[in-house]
Amino acid sequence: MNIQIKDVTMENIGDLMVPACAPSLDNPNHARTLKEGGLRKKEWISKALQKYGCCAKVALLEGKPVGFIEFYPMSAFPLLPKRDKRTLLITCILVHNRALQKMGIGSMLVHALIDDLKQRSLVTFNGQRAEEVAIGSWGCRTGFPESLPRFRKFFLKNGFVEDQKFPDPTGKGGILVYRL
Amino acid sequence: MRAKVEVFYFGCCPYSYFFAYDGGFVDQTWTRTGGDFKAELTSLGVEVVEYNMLEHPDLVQKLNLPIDPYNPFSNLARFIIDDIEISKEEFFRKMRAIKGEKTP
Repeated sequence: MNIQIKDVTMENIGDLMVPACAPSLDNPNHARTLKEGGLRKKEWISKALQKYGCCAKVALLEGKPVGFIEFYPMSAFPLLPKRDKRTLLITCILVHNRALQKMGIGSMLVHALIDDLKQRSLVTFNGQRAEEVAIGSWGCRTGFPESLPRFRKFFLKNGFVEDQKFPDPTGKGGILVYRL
Repeated sequence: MRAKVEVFYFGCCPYSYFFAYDGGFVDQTWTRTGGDFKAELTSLGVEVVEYNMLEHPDLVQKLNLPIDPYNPFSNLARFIIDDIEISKEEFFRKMRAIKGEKTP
């Protein structure tokens, strides 16, 4: 399986949109609403790319997008508590085609991000490297209940550890962190 | 009577927007959904104001909305008639009554 991992830029921003909106829905109104959500995301990503630089990577199989990982500096989320570290927050990782899940593409995306962050200086941190990558509560406490154990296992397998001291306004704790 | 719906979503996640309109996945393959009321708001002629919470954190804090800021799926919709927030059920009951439609 020839998987390529690429940064998302303004030129290939469409590769990030396709997987997120791929599920076919039985009701055209619902499909339209989800598609409109995808357009809102495109607007947000366009602004984020200019403001933060790279904030997503896409996995390509035979040149076609099959998954992505999305990440932002914690400061992009003004409702979150302040963190005195240079922290990137993974907000989404998705391999949308079920036939391609559990084949290591998600782990490839995570490791491509980590390897990149170990050597890349980031505009958003004034030219310094990130110190850590974190997963919000969606990866351990909230989100789809049936998926949480799988999410958690996935991130632990890929080197993340639970940090009970990580600031969490929900009080639920269990934020998963990878120290770079 | 002034009817308005305020929708709060995280702009980084299309599902946050989808869920805010009560779109919901009802099966494992995400192929069937239920509850999405966006089309009905349009047919009822309701004013809809959408807020990307990443760009309007002050409003989220001012309204003290119960949002999990770590969860990109987080979302919320407020149903308002004559500046008073009411439940979704009451909102649609009143709006359908005005339109002469039966509540399902």
